[in-house]
Amino acid sequence: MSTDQDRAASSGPNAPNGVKRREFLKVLGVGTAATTMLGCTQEKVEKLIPYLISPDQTVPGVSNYYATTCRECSAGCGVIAETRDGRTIKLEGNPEHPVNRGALCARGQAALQGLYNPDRYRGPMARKNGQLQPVNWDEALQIFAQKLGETRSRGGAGSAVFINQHESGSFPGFLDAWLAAFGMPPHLSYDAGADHAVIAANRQTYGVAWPRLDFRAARLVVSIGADFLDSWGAMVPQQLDFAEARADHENAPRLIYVGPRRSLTGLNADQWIDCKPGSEMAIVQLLGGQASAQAAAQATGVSETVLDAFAREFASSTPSIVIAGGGGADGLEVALAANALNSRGNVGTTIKPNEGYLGFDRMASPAELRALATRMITGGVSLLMVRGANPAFTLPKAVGFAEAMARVPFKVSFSSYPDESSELADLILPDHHSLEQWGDAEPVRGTISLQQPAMDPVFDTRATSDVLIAVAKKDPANAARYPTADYRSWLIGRFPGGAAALAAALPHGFASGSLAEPTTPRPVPPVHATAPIEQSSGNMYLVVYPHPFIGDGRGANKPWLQEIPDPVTKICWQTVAEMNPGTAERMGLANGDLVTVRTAAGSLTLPVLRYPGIQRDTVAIATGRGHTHAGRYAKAGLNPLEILPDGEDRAGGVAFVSTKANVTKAGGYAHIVTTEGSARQHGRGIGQAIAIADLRAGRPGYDSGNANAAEIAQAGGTETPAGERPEGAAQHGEEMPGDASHAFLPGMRSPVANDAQGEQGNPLSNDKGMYDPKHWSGMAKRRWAMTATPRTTSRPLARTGKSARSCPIEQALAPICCEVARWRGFVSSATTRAGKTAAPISTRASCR
Amino acid sequence: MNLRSRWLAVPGFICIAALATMLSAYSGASSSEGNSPVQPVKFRHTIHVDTLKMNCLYCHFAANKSFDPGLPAMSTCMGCHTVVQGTTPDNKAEIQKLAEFWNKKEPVPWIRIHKLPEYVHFPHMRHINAGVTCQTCHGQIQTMKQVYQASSLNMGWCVNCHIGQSNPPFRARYDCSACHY
Repeated sequence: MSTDQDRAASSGPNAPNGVKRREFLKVLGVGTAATTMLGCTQEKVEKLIPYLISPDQTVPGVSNYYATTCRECSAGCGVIAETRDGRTIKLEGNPEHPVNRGALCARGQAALQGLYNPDRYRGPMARKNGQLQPVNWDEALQIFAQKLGETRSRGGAGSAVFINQHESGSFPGFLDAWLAAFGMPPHLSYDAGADHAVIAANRQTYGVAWPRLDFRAARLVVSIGADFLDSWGAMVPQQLDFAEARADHENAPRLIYVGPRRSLTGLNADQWIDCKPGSEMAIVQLLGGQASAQAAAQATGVSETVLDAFAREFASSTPSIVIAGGGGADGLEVALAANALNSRGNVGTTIKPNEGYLGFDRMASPAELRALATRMITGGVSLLMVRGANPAFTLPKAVGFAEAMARVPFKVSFSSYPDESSELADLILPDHHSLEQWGDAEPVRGTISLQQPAMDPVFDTRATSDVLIAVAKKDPANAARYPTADYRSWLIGRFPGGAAALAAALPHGFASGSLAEPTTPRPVPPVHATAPIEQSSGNMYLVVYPHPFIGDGRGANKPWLQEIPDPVTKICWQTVAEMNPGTAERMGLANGDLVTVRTAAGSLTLPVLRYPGIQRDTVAIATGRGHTHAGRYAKAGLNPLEILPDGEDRAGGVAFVSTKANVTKAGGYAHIVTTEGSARQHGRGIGQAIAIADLRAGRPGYDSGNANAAEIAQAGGTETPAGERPEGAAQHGEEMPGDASHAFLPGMRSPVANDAQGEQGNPLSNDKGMYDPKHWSGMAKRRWAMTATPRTTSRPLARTGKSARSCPIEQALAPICCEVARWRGFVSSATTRAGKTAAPISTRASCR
Repeated sequence: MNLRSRWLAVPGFICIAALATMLSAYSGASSSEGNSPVQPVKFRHTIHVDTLKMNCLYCHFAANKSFDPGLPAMSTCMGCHTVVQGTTPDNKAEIQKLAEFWNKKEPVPWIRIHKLPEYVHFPHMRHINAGVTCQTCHGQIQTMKQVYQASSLNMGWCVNCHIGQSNPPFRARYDCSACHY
């Protein structure tokens, strides 16, 4: 459909570049014909490129499996890496591993896209004339060693800073020893995704950073914003434990979720209590009996009846689990108060500090990094080294880390990928990916989880541990302390039982033993405490929450993690402002309408997504997207940390829920990038639900998609309404209403001759299917795209006898086929090229 | 172009193209049987297999354990040819070529001869382990001075063997999903 102007432009004499329809068709026709003819000629010349030296134990097309440890977060799950033809192609959980027991989360699965990431640093780079330029390793190490020497000779070693990604195992200790050898202070171990308030509270209450939660032993689980199924703490074992507990229909614990936004954890709850952000403390006080339901209702905006029933249920359910999280301004106080509720017999029964996870110890808080930023601005840092962490992105922009980092005289990055922090560096010494290097972790006390290379490095990178050893060897004062060639030898020297024990343990991926790491907490520096959320101004509460897959942003350049729909909103590749449909309706906002969310720190304009699982005065935005310098895929979306004011809870963690915001309609529209057409079932019964009581009693329950479901339930809920039962379904009590019949349909079997099943077929049957000589199709004599019968065959099948059913069209066409083949020069040239020993082409079936 | 020829041109072309496609497929002319390209190094199966009696699996080490028969790594070649320099001037020259590739740390870019379309699976190990010899498909490769494609590798040729028409006869599945999966 073209407008008049279009037509004038394309067909007029003054349209030199316009392609006429008729010409286009001509070209198309000739092109198609040419392709058809040429496409049937011989295959293009293809090369077979052998290995120079074959990788160890490589059989092409057959996989090797290596047990190693996932380093995508600090939990330390065991993975099995499948490596084919020298390249790792798949990760799965290690079934023997005590932490993840065979499971692996989406972030772990996507580690492969970090390994092969197209934006990875190909090799070391150094800043020359203001630009990062590739250098070779000799030069890069020379620069690094020289800068270390300069820093020390100028007396600046004491003010050098090393920020490492948070991890357990022997590397942190190795790193601190190396820093001490150069006169530098211990490193900062940073994990932006950790809930610092909860870790601090747990230490105070239980003496460990992260106890194991035994959901099976609990009758009631109360989660106050603690998304233990999303990414809060040791996610994989928590998911497994919870799933196992809930699969036991007799003793499944009830889950009540308290919080302004229903996360995946909230959607798994039996009840959601949608309190106002920042009012969680009132709920905890209600449960503890320090406040009345009326006072709590006043503070939270939840009805008093609901809260009263909740308090009574909590009081009568023991043992239970109460956990709190969610990054509020009073996160530490809420977590401490929630932990105190567990003192009524839960500790040791449902909350097990002795089986705690060690991946959350010795972590530096964001408050320490803010203090560091202040020091960097005033020139108090001589040398900054960063490995694996990205503080320039993961701290609120109001902290000003990037600006402060730019003031440091020399910055070294060990990052494998470009990110906001490495872009500011003067020297980049790219680390191996975790699947390319040696290492270890101690995820639970008494288990050493081993990390080994699953493949040779993809690019010209080097393990940071090896770089540190190499640089120490160059330094006359330190060379003697590092007699080992590399970090692997250092690990072997430290491993209980030495090389033999390590070799025996590697196939399993872990060993018993302990690296006896200290688990002492770091002292928290003075925090920049946030004022209560009610003191900020705005028409809605702003809830910033960590994206369940992309997390603090480190997964943003992995397309799998961008593409996988958020488990709650089903959003991909996009940052949206989630709002309650009622509120959106009142403000005249449909899905995709742009709104401006303005706080004291800045504003963002983004599309609205109506989500019923959100408190009516709240707008929620996920973190992790909207990078500026983290590669081609990471640019998608927006970063809510840009509008989050600088402020911390009293444990030094970023207060993600600390401010109100002014939400106004911005005008304009953006398509919502979602995999979900509608969040409702429209009565089709796609997601079936049945009450456990019905299931246990063998009753069919009622269809959750049925508009009359409530009435049916009221009336007893024992009968499926007439007409709901599918045709031919099983007897009463065995079918799900609305479900299609699963009965075997004979007509759906593939029509395969018994003979075609080879050894798997019935040896007594003589069914040859369409290759039977008597089959109507005559296929036994006439095979499509066929040529010669084998010369070794005494009776060429295709020529057996003259059947009366021989196809006349075939007979008519056969001479033409041979002519065409000769005309195209194929037959003669093939014979010549093959030489005298070539197969006689004349046996070609169609040339009689 | 008058009205009549315009209405004939496009369907006519489509008919001719369709006819050409069907004839080409039916005649088997799309097979590259007999293809015998000149390789960058004149490797002689005659010397290695016929004269020296080397087992095929010494170089094609994965033929009995993988879909892929395995192409010897350059290091496998040089395992012998750092010592074995050849006897005739021709052979010496070819081994010299191999050594040059090795010294440059470059693999020899062998030209592929046997190639099945992407939609067909041919698991070498199942055929070898069922007792099908290399020669059944690849011809008398030990006597080929220059390797050529001895069989058509077309579907009809595959099915002949799978339905038990080979000598010695084998019986194997020949439903579509036996190879097309």
